[in-house]
Amino acid sequence: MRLPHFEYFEPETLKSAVNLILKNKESKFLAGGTDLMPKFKKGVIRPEVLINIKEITGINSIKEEKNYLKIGALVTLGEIEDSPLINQVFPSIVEAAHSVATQQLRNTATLGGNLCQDTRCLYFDNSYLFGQSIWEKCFKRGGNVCHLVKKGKKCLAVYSGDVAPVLLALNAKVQVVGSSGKRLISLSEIYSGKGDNAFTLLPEELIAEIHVPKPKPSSYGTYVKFRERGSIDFPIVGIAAYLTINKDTIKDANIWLTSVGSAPVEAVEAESVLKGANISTDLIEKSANQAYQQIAPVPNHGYSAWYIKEMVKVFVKRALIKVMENARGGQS
Amino acid sequence: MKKIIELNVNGEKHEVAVAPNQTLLEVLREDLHLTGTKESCDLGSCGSCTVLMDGNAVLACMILAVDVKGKEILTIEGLAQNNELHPLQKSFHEKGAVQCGYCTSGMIMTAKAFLDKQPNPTKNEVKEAISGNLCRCTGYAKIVEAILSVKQA
Amino acid sequence: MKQSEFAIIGKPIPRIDGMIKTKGEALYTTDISLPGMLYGKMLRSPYPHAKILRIDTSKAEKIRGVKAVITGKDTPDIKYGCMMVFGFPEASDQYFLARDRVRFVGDPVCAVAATDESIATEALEQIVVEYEELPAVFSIEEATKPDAVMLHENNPGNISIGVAYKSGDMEKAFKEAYYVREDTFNTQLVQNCCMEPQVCLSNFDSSGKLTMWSSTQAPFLQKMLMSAVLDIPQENVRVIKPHMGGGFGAKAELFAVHYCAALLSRQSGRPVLICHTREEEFAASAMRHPMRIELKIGVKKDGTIIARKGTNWLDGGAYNSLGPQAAADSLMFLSLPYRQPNVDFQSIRVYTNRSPSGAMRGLTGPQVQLATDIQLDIVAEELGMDPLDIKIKNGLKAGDVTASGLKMKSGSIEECLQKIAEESEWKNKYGKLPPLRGIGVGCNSFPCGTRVLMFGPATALATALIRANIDGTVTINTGASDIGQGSDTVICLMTSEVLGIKMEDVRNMPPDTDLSPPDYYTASSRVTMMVGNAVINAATALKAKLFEAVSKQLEANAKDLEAGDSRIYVKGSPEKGVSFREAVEICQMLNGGSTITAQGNFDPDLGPFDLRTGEGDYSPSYSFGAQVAEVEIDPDTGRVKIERILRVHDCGRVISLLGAQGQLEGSVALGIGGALSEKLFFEEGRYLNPSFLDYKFPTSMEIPDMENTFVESNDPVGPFGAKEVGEGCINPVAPAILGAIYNATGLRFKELPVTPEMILKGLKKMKGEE
Ligand SMILES: Cc1cc2nc3c(=O)[nH]c(=O)nc-3n(C[C@H](O)[C@H](O)[C@H](O)COP(=O)(O)OP(=O)(O)OC[C@H]3O[C@@H](n4cnc5c(N)ncnc54)[C@H](O)[C@@H]3O)c2cc1C
Ligand code: SF4
Repeated sequence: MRLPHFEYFEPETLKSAVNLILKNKESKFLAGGTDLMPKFKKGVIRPEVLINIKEITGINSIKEEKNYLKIGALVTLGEIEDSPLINQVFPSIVEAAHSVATQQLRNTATLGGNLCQDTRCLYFDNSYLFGQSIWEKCFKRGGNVCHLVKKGKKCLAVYSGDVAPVLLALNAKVQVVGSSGKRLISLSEIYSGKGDNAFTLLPEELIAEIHVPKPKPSSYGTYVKFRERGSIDFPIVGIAAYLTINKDTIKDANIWLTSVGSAPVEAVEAESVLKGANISTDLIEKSANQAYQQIAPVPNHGYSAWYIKEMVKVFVKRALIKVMENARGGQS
Repeated sequence: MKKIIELNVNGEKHEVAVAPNQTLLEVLREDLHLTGTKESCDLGSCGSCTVLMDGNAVLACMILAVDVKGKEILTIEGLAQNNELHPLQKSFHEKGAVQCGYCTSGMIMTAKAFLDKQPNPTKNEVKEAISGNLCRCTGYAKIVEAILSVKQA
Repeated sequence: MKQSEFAIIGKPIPRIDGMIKTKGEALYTTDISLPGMLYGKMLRSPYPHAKILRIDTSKAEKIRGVKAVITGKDTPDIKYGCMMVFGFPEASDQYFLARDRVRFVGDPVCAVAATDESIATEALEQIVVEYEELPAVFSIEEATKPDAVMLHENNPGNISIGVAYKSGDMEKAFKEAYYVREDTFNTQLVQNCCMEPQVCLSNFDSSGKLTMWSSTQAPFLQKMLMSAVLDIPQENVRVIKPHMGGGFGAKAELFAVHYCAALLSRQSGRPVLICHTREEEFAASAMRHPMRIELKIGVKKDGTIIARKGTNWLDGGAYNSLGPQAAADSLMFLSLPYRQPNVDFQSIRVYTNRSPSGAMRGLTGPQVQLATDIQLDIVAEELGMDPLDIKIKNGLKAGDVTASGLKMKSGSIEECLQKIAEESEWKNKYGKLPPLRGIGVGCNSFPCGTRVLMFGPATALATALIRANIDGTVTINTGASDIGQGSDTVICLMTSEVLGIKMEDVRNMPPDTDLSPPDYYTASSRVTMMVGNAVINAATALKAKLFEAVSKQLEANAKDLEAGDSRIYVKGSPEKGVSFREAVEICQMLNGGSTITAQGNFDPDLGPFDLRTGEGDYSPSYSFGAQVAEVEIDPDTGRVKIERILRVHDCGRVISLLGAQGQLEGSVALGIGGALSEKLFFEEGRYLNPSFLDYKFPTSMEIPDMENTFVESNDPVGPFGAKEVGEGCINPVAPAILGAIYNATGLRFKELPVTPEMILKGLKKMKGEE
């Protein structure tokens, strides 16, 4: 598969990157390219201009600040896995990064790209050359139908990034750079929840840094991913859980799920039964059941909604058990 | 528009005129005639085109050639030194880890990057390390064995 | 002969091409480029079934860099069928470039050749094709409805091929049976997933000679087919097979890739390379036939089978491909590996609007074996027997002849099962494992090559040419394709063993139809058996010539000479001899300087055989095997963890130890994918997951430890007693795993793949939660 022709830029500053997008209509940022390239090769997307942001200086390192860790958007998932600092402070970010794709992809895939990866749908991701070309354009291709839910009124393509749920559970913020300068917003704000237009960012806006607040004392977390094969695959469901535990009481709980909707989903009900309660097997069960009740997954990546929902229950439970074990072992 | 860039491949510097839409894989195979690196899925899912970039295993089909300047690329052709097979090449051959051979280059490059970092892995670690390299012939058994035997050597 | 009597056979000798493959030096078809080479691409139908109303290629032709554009109108009006040269001309039903109708999404309509791939792709986008959509059928059920649309005019009911075999008194047998039952099994589409997709580089020169560098299991078949569909003399086609990135059956015939590369080259006057993208590979390369298998069995109280009725429905896709062979094979697999005195078998292949089903490792064997073994498991349970025992009781053994005439010549199912029972500690485990853990067993018997007469009765089943070189090496030339499985190494090992020279001194010539003796193909697990025997005969004939020549100098009778350690010497006194190199020299001198060559063939008298009825002995011999899987089920997710897989395989004799082990291990991995995870989502004629990301073929993480044991039954026909090892081992993988799942959970599945979702649903149903 060969890429069609396109124009290519390598800006060295955030500002020129933003300006290049503003100047060129059908343009896209290119980071590691591991999400973008397959779609581009298949003709699913057709940018006329690619703006490689990897030469931009100052957004490719991991720095410790007083209250938070600053991770540049260009830091690769491989670098996260190898970072002694992240391993020490946020082992669950490492767990999540490590669970993405394959080692080769992680070595080029960036954190920014992971957070901003497009939503997925088997009806959308195929080549435009044959087969798909006669299907009526679905919402995500700019049309008015959905092939997944035949009379559906909107696109339900699924956000499947592995790292976002952990960062969301940690209340991470992202520094967004656009035409009017920089702003620091909560990571959750970048996800629109729409399958066909998954991000709230403007086309010219890009994420420069991710700020992860340092964990409160006695908080423990994990990322648990369920996938079909032991490698390569996106999650069937992925769960990040962070709990602050005092003695046997849960002070705070953050649970985020991926691959169950067009954006990462916070399991609010599951969190609320945990908050203030004493740890017990029953409690975990109850929390998992709440998540099960809340989540309405979309069967668009090869698994039925029924099955994904069941797995939500199973893996929320497993995630919570793992957090409790971490707590007992003193691992944050 | 093609652009002349300098590529450092297997310790040798090459000046190549590349178009932005050419991947590293295309340039390696078609311009530098290093055909040992294979194209199988071309979509980042099989590992056949694995090469090392500054020592890390990466997929040549996912990387634009223009984006590689200033980096050191090592392909399967650059692995043997002074006509002496790399221990991985030797063990793949001797342990029967090669069948059709189409995944072999990528598999060996992945294993090389892995062993450089982790010279004494367990069997499960080896399995995990090569899990991004698909092979349809061997069932992976002899590949895992070959990599483990290098560790012991 | 005992193992120890061999110098090199059975030893863990590395394969002859292993080293260059580890260095990335081995040249595969896409690695070759010729001066002026163009890149070809095909425009494929987006409709599963449609009439072509109009094709306009004018815009594409004007693009700079486009050198040729062809449509069906530019091709000879000759339909293709893989078996048109096997005496099945009526099975020809396909235009490689559609003329007026397309029958599957991916059916090629036009082809272009351009100076680079992006231009070729761009050109495709500029071609306008107008279609009129026709109703389509997507399953056996839909295709066989009385009012279903017909895919081909001459095939009412969309029946592409039907074969049947019957013997004995079924009615009586079923009446007398103690227990009778009927079951239906369903298997899915499976993609071969060769790491190297279909690819061909063609050069049609002005003299009319077509040279193809083709990744093929069947160079000679391709030559014959190409000559037939292009209506050019056979000897104008030369097929050269470079190194090959896997075949598994997918590359056992001709595809549009080959056809279009040739025609584009003829039109442009330049060499043309066409290589499938991975998506095209899923859309249009050969897949394993999905099957519905209806079985009825009658047994005595002790479990002895007395009658079996079987109907195989094969979902053939849009064209015949090698359908007649698939149908015949599926009929044969109903006869194996258990004794059945009364049988009534039929196989019906049905057309559907999907890419054509073709060959894949085991050609219908894995599907049929699933049905056979699982039904026997059920019968055993109903009779209160252990499934392993009922399989021992009914397993075929040397001396048995099946109802249709398959003659078992060596080994037995019983021996394989006894051995595997011991190694797996079956008796301590079956029914005794903790909940959610289970053990299952499957068996197989597999032909060592089919007796299909592509070249007609005047040509042997296999031929080998051998030449002694003046430097003491020999060159062996067989026409057999090493597709990655290692047959070149087997050929060299055998030559080396016979001539007593080092394997490094044996050169194998890769197949080239201009230079090699005719060979059928690398399929049906025939190479070791058939080509191997020819090789032994050729090497033996060469040895005789050398013995004769040196006997004078050594003052000994040729009968008393022996070859070993790269020398020829008098038996018992190795110091009295000459080096192999000297022997060649002496022989050449005595022969007026001519090169010393010999040939050998394999053409045993196996009695009559008819592919159309399945009557007679299908193959020179049959392998046997058994497999045990141990699994553990995660009750929360339904996921199957395979703890271990044990295999016992009777391959007659191990020739290449590493190669034979590799065949077993590879088969098991393929089998695991087919049993548990490989699944193509198919909707309105399109595959939704045609990629290695979404089509789940096993990674290293899914493959358990595998234990291999070989039984060496020393087959009377096999070369050094060897039988097949390439395909049989895939057949029992799924039944062993499904048996183990049942043993672990009580859930009996009769379809593939068994997904975690199905298991979880089943478990919940059992607990009354659903
Ligand atoms: C075979 C395969 C398997 C995969 N498996 C997984 C998996 O298991 N889990 C998983 O999470 N992902 C998976 N991925 C997806 C992908 O590899 C990752 O999401 C990766 O982290 C993307 O990062 P990148 O730098 O390569 O992104 P790119 O492809 O460069 O970019 C992705 C998108 O984000 C935008 N973008 C990139 N950087 C920024 C930024 N700083 N600000 C704003 N927008 C930006 C780009 O414009 C583009 O639209 C898989 C991909 C493949 C090919
Ligand atoms: S879910 Fe979205 S991408 Fe998928 S078919 Fe529907 S509209 Fe298209």
